[in-house]
Amino acid sequence: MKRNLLRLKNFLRDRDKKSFFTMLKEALHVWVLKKEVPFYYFGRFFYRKNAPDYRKFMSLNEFNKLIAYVDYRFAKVSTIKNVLQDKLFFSYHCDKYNISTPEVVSYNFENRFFINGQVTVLKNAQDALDFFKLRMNDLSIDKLFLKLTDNKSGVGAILMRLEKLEVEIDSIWIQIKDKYYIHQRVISQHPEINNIYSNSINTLRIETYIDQDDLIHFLGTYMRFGSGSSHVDNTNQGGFYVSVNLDTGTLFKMAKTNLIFGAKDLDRHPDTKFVFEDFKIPYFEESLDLVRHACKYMPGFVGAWDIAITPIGPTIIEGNHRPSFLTGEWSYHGYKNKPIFKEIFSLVNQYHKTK
Amino acid sequence: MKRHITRLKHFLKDKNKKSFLTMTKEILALWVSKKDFPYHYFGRFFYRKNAPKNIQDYMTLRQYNRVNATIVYKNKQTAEVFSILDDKLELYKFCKENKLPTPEIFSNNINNTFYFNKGTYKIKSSSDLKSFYQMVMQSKNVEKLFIKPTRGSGGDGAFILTKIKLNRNLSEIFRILTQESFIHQEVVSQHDLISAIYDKSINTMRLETFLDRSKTVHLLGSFMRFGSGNQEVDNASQGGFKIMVDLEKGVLFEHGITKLIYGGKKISKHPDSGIVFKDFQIPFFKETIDLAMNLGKMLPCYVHGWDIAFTNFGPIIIEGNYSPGILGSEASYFGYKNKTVFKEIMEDTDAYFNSKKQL
Repeated sequence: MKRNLLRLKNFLRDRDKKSFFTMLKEALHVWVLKKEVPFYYFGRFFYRKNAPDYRKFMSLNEFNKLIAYVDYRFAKVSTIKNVLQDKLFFSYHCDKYNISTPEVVSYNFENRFFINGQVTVLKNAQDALDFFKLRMNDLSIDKLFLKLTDNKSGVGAILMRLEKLEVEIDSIWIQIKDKYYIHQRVISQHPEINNIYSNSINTLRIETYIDQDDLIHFLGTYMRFGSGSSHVDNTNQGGFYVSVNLDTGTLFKMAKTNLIFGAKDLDRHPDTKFVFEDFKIPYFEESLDLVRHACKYMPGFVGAWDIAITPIGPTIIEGNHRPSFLTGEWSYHGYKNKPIFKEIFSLVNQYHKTK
Repeated sequence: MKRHITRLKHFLKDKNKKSFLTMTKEILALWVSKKDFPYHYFGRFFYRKNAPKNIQDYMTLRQYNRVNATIVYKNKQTAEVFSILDDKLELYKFCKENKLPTPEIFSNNINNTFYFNKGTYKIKSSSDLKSFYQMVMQSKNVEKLFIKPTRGSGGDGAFILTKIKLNRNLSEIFRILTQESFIHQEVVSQHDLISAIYDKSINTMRLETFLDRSKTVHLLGSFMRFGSGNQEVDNASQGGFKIMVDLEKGVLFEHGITKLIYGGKKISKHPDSGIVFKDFQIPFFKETIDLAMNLGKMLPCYVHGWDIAFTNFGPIIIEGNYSPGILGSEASYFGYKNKTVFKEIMEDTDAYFNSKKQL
């Protein structure tokens, strides 16, 4: 309720709205065209002056039907979902099939801490301090990224730094001792991406669809950036996204924050002032190849892959069995402009008819 | 309904019943003391002459349902462990990573994508399937594979695929496999002493562990299951039977018992091999207990049920269960009232149901 009020407030404050008459006309048109209350017209900013053609984009009802079908497909093969949702098992999977992903160097199940098949029961923050110091010394590293094994959207993630460990260990211990965390090697980010924002790993999201002949199709593609002092790039934690031109591997002109954060349109990073338009993503082709390779071993119907770009190439941060679709849709200017969606929606409609 | 009628039929036919008067007296006493009609009096064979004397110490169906709901609820709070126990592929990866003994998974499939070594194969017909399994069996130098659904328990959907079966019509197997995900597992070579009892199934020992509030692991109960006839699995729900294990001595108790649906037969020797159960010393007993306790420690979760098989080299983990149905082993500790840690489980159960009431 509070979030909806915030959304409404942001809409009312928006100075970039079309005229009242145009909005009314278009909203009514959407209502007739899509046969549903046009929530998406407002939620996806089609009320703005510079908005693209709303008729080509997915309505809320179309999106819900698509997601219901995705869930139905994955309910039948929960193994895919299990591997993608669990960061520990995703790491095992990637290791086995040579899919590049940051190394998990240890993990904990509550107060049981695992390294290479050895389990140690830790009793307090001092034990945890000793454990992490030893681990970092053994690996000659000075930081670790701790993530909940079932982490979603960066919630609960901790960037642990050796230099601050003694000061921070009490709060870290409280946060992790009853939970399940992987302890991941921190990757270095490509310097060109760091020029845009260096406090977080800024990931490229690539959405995929595997057709009935096992051909892999790329759907939406966008890049997310953190901002402020955030060390995650998630849009629900203050980050934002910029759509990617799949043909050229470059960023489009404008980034967008979530509606909850004001749905601001940004043409440059608010911290570094780096201009997005036409920025060529390093290792873009290699990123697509990496996703193709990952899809070969994860035969889900659709997928969404978060790729970080390191100085030596792309690496997969995580896979999701349920793409967001709506965010990705900006990169191909509406699903009606993406021919493969004809096939996808024919499956979706078939499913809903038989239901 | 049909199953209930079969159960009733077996009860009526049972020649080992106590007198009508004794049964009525006991049922009424249980009804009054437990404040619940004692259905378990029949399902757990307390109506028989040689039933335990302390029937008041055992859980009623209602108590069991409450305890079980609490266990499942609390186990689900530890989603990571729940997920590992729910998925045989995850359990296998966890065991391999942590050097715990478990049968090898040679290959697996998700729908028509089959995984072997580091490659994937698209299986589009029964002849593709035959070629795939021929390759796996030849490469691993085995004559058979144990095919199991990645999820699920109780032996549902599991079967053994032999080289000979590969020459038959595989269209039904192809249809079943490509609809879901399965693991294709090594068929464990069972310990000679266990195989002497019954060699057509892998006969497992079930051990239940409980993690108390101070995170200490306790062993609850234990029993062993055996297949019989030509059955390839040992599950009691598929016609096998179980025998309680004496946790002090590591030996079997005197009698095995089939489920009431299968006649509730009390057996003192295996119906196929004729081997007597009483005092049969379970091989690697101490190692098996250590393994279960270690698993309980590594995978912190409220109550586990571990199914462990025996090879000539030691115990080996077959699967873990997050809803272990603890009634099955209650007789190994002569009723929950005789197991001190149940005080905490019963308190947790009351607390869980009270909190549900308040909602």
